[in-house]
Amino acid sequence: MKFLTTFFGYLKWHYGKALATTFTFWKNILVFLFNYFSIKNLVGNFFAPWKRLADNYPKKFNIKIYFFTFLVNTIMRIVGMFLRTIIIIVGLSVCVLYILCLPITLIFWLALPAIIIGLIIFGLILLISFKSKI
Amino acid sequence: MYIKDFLKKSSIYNVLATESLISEDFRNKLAKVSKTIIVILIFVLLLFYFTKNSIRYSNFKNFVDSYNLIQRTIGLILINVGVYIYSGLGSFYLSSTYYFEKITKNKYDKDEFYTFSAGRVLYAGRKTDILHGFFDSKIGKLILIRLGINQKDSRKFYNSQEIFVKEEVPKPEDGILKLKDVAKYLYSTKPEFAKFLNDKGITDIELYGAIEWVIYEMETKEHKAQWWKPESLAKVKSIASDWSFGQTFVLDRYSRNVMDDQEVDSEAMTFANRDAEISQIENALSKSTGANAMLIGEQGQEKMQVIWGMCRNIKNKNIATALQNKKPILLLSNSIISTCKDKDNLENQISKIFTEVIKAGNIILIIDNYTELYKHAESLTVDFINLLDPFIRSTSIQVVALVNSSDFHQYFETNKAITNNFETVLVKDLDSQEIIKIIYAAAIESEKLYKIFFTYQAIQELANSASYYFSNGVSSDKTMDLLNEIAPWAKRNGYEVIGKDEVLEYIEQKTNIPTGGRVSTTEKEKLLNLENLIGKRVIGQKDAVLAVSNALKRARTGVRNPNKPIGSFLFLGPTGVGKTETAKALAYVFFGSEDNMMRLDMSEYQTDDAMEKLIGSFATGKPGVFSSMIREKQYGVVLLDEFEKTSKDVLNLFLQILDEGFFSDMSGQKVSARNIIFIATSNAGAETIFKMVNEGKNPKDAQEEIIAGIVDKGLFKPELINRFDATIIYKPLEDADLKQIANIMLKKVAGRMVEKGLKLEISDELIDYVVKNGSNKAFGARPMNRFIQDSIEGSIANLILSGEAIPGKVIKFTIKNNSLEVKIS
Repeated sequence: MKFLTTFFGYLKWHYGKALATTFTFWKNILVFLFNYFSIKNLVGNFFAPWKRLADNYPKKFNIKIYFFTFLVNTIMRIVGMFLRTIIIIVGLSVCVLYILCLPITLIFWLALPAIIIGLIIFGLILLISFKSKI
Repeated sequence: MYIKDFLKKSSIYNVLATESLISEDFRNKLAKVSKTIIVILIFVLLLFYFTKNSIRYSNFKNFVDSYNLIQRTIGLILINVGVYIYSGLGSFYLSSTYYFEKITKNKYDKDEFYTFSAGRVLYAGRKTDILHGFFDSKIGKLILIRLGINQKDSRKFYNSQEIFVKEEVPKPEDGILKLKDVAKYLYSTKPEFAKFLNDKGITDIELYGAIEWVIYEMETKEHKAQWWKPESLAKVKSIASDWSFGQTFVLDRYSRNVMDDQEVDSEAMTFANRDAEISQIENALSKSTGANAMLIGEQGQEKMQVIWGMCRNIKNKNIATALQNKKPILLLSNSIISTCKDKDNLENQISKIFTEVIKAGNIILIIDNYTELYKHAESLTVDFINLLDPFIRSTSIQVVALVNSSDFHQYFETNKAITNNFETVLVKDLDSQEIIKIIYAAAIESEKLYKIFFTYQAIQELANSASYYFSNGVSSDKTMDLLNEIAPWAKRNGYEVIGKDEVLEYIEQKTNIPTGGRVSTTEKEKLLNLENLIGKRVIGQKDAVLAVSNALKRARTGVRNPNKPIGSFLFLGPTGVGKTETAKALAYVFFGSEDNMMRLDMSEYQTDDAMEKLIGSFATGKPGVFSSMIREKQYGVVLLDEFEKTSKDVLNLFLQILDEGFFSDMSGQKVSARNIIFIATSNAGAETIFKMVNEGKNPKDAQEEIIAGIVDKGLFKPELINRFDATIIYKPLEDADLKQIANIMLKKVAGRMVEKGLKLEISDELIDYVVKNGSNKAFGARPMNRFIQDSIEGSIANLILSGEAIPGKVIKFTIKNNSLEVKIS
C-alpha cells in the first residue's frame, strides 16, 4: 500500500511539477550558454577595438600621426570584430544545437520511468533465459 | 489533529514516504554499487570479446557460449544501468522537492503545512509519538549528537519513555510547522525531555541553536546539489567577457583580482550578514558622478567581508546594474608604498593606475589601507587628495577606499574633498548570534579536514570567548582564528570531539586566564573557602572579606556579567587596616601569586597630563602605563591606591572601564579590562569612621552616611561610587586584631629563623610590646612591619653576627622598663 502511494506520488511529480521544472531547467541552461559565450556583450561592442587597445588621436593636427593612429585603431577594430564573430558563431551554434536537442530530452524524460522498468525487465530476461536472445 | 492525518495534508508527505522506503544513504550506496558493477561488467564483456577468436582460449569460449555468459552479462549491465538511473532520479526527486527555510529565502507555501525537518520528525513518530519520533529520526539523532549527547544515553532515555498515543500536533508559530516549533513543544510539555537535556547541562537555547545548525548543514548540502539553479550556473566564468574592456598593465603589478579570493566562494562567508553594507555600496557606486565609497570599519577582515559579499553578488548576477559584470580589483597600498619611494615615481604610478582603470571600463578599484597610502604620499610631499581628485570625480570610475575607523576620524572626517566625493559606509560589528552563523560552515569544513567533531556548545563558546578573552580586533575575525587554531590543537591532544570544555581549556592554555570552564576540585574548595583563605591574612575585617569573596564566587561560576570587569570594589577606611593586604591576598588566592597584583599610585596622576601617562600620548607615540600594564597581564588584581587623589579625567576614564570593561588607548585600540579585579582604595571618610568607632557605632551600619560625606566633599561623583560592585568600609583595628596581626608577623620572622636552625619564642608579652610600639591610630598596623624589622630582626641579626646565635639556640625576648631584652639559651 505504502509502495503504491509513494509510486503514484512519484509519477504525479514526474509528469507534473518535474515536467514544469524541466522547462525552467532548460531555460536556465540556455541562459547560461548565452552568458557563457558573452553573446549579448559581444554583439553590443561588436565594433569596439580589441581589448580597448586603441591610441588617442594627437591634440595637434599632424596628418602622419593622425593617419597612423587611424590605421592602428582600425586594425584593432577589425581584429576585435573577427574574434567576436568567431565566438558569436560558435556560441549561437551551441545554443541552436541545444534547442534542437530539447525535444529528444523531453521524450527521454517522459519515457524515463518506462525506460527504467524496461531496462530492468529486459536485463532480467537476458540474465535468466537459457535461449540466446541476441 | 493527529500526526498521521496532519502529515497527509501536505505534498511533502509523498516525499517523506519515499524517503522512508528508500533512505538517502541507501540510495547513495545503490548508486555507488551499481556504478562499480557496471564498470567491472564492461571489462568482463571486453574480455569475452577479445578472447572470442583466439584459438588458445577455445575452451574458455566454449564455456562462455554454453552458458550464454555474454548475454547474461549484458542483462546484468542493463539491470544495473536501470538501478543507477533510478537512484539518480530519486536524488533529483528529493532535491527538487526540497524546500529551504534558512539558506535561501523561505520557499515554503502555506499549504505545505510543515517543513521537511519537522516532517521528518513527525513521520518517524507517526506510529509512536513526537518525542519518540524526534529520537528515531535521522535529523533528531544528528541534533542530539551535535549537543554532545551520546547515542547510548539517547537510547536509554528513549526506551524509558512511555508512548503517548494519539498525540495532537503542536501549533506552529507562523503558519508552517518548523522543527524549532516541535522542539519548543517537546521542551515545554515533556518535563522528562527537558530534564534529560538539563541534566547534561543543555539549555533550550542550545537545543534550538543545534537545530538551526543541523538544518543549515543539510540545506547547504542540498543547495550544492542543485547545480541547475541560475545562481549555481552563474558561478561559471564566461569566456570573452573582458574582450571589450581595456587591460591594466601597471595596476596588475600592485593588485589582485578579488573575484579569485577563495572567500568569495566559501560557504562560511555566505552567512556573514553584510546585506546592509553591500546595498549602501551599491547605491554609492551607482551614482552618475563621484561613484565612490569609503568603507569604514575596525582593523581586521570585516571590511573585506563586505567586499567578498559584493563579489559574490556580482558573480551570482544579483547586483545593481552599475556593478554588473564588473571586476573588483584590490589595489595593495603596501605594495605601492614599498616600490615607489620618491615623489615623481609615486605620482607617476598613481596617475597611470587611475588612467588605466578609467580606460579599462570594467573595474571597481578597491584601495586597501587607504590611510597608509595617503600618509606615504603626504610624507613625500605629494598632494594626494588633489592628485586623485580629477579621477575620483570622473564619471567613469568606481572606487572603494578601505579605512580603519580611528584613521577616518583622524584624517578624513573633516576633509571636504573626501567627504564630498566618497560616500561613507560604516561596517557594523556582528553580534555573537551572527558570528555563530559564520562559523557554522567553517566548523564543518574544519571537521572534514581534521576528522574531528564540534558540538554546538563548542561553537557557541568559540563565538562568545573570542570577544570575551581577546580584546584586540574584530570579533568575527577572532572567532575564525580561534576555530582555525583549535582544530589542530585538538588533534594533537587526541581529542576527537570538541565540546565547550575543550574550547575553554584551549583558551586557558593560550591566554593563561582561568576560563571557568573546568572548575577543578581543588579550585572548588578554594572558592568555597575563599573568605577563610583571605581572612587568614586580613585580620579584623570580616564584613569586607565576605563582600569581596561573594563577588568572586559569582565571577568564577559564570554568573557574572561578561561585559564588565570580574569585580570592582571601593575600599574606604583609615591607613593600615588591611586594604592593600586584601588586594594582595586576593591576587594570591584567586590568581595564584601576589605578582598578579598590579599597583597604581593614583596620587601620581593628578596633573593635566595624567591621562597621557596612563593611556599613552598620540602626539609622542609613547604608550601609557596603565594600558601597557593591562595588555601585558590580561588578568589579575589592579590596586588603585589613593584613588581620590587623581584627576577628574582619570576618574571619568574609570567610570567607563567599570561600566563597559574596556577603554581605548591613545591610538584608539580597545584594551579589555574584563578579566581584572579593580580595587580602589581611599582614606576619604577615615575621620568619620574614627568618630563612629569612638561613639561605639559599627561603621558598617553608617555606610551611607560615610559615602554621603565623601560625595559632599566632591571627592567622588555618586555615579562613580555606584559603578563599583561594592563599597566596603574598613574599620580601625581593635587591640585584639592588632595582637593577631603582630602574632602573624612574628610567626613569619620565626619561620625565617627556623631556616637558620634558630627558634624564636613568641610570648604574649612580646606581642603586646609590638602592638604598643608598632601601631598607632593614624596608621593602623602599617608601622608594625617596620617596627619588627628595626627592633626584633635587628637584634637577631646582631646576635648572628656576634656568633652567639648558632643553630640549635632558642631566642627569647623579654620586656624590661619598656625596652626589649634578648635572651639566648
